[in-house]
Amino acid sequence: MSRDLCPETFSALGTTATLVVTDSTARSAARAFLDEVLVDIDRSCSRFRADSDLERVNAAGGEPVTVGATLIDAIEVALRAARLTDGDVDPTIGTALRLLGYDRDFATVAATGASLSYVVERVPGWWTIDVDRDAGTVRIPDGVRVDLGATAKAFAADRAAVGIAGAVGCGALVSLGGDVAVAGPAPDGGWPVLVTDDHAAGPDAPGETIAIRAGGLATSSTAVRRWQRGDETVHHIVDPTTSQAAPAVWRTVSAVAGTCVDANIATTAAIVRGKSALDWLTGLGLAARLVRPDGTVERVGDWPEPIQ
Amino acid sequence: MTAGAANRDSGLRRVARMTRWLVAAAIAAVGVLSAVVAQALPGSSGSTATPSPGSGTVGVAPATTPPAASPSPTSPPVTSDPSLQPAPPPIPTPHHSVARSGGS
Repeated sequence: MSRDLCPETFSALGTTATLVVTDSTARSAARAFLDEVLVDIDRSCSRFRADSDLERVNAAGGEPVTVGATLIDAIEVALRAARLTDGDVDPTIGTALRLLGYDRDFATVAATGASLSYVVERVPGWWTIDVDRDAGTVRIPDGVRVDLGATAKAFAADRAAVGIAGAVGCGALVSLGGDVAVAGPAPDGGWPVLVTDDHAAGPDAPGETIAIRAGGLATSSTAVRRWQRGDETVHHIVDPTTSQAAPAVWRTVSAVAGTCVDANIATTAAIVRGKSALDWLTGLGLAARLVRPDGTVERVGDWPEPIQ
Repeated sequence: MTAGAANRDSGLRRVARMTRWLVAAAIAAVGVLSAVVAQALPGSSGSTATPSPGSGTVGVAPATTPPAASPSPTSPPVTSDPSLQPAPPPIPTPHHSVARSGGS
């Protein structure tokens, strides 16, 4: 089945994008649609280009800024993530990420550096973001920086997959940095996806291959996007209660949900929540797979056992 | 006019007065309730999802914008959102993967 599905993989948003469609004749139209989504997301939500809508808001010194609808949509997704996780996925971690050393596109972040000097404190809080959809403006207090890294890729993947299925009329899988969204008619047996620590690893990387038919599959990991400062290993998933990299109770968490955004919210929050993530995910009724640093695996909900 | 007719007309006037008061009270009650509901459930002008890039609202729950009133700078407002939505359970598959989900 999957022999008939030809993935197209390319660089985008500082990571890897993969596009698969069920109708090979629709591939170029689907790619064109995806490219438009990616350009729009980058122009709206990047914190690594000064002319993005997000960076204009971050630099506005507390004044409201007129922005495009995409940034407003993306911020509302991030605010919903914060509300649903009691603030464990908080977009006001921008300053914390900078202080941890993630202050530029990750490809250019130095792998090693001097020890960090910082204060353990709560990030400003998602409720300080003021979105006025009618006026088309966003305002954050002076000194607060918003980062949409936790949810924007998943948001874009959902938007692209659903858009391609609707506009081009075929089944579509869009993966952005390992955040996978599918829409439209699935291939026989579903979309086979390898769940592993690093989305950029090869097809033989250790993990489990599962098939999904709808919604999204996301994975968050403390094993990638890491860097060294002094004796400390830092990663990109910030605990908003401390402004520090979340303790690595879990090396990798994957989840399946009704959308890629919801799956991503679950996995990011699970990394931050640590041990309590098991009960939280169980209560939500989500299928999830959690891997400890020693490689042992916990399965939650309907996450299947692997084929031996 | 007979005494009976006078009594009837007087009764009709009382009924008319009571009806006017009831209508006024009902209008006032609707207004008060509308204000209470509007404050408790702030709305938004969400756009309609379309298959055009950059214009949809895919992945966005019914937008619940932060309260219009200035929020406290130190604590989150209390709002309600639809919970994270489950999907059909994944199934193990022997097929080769077409994509990888991992950290990035």
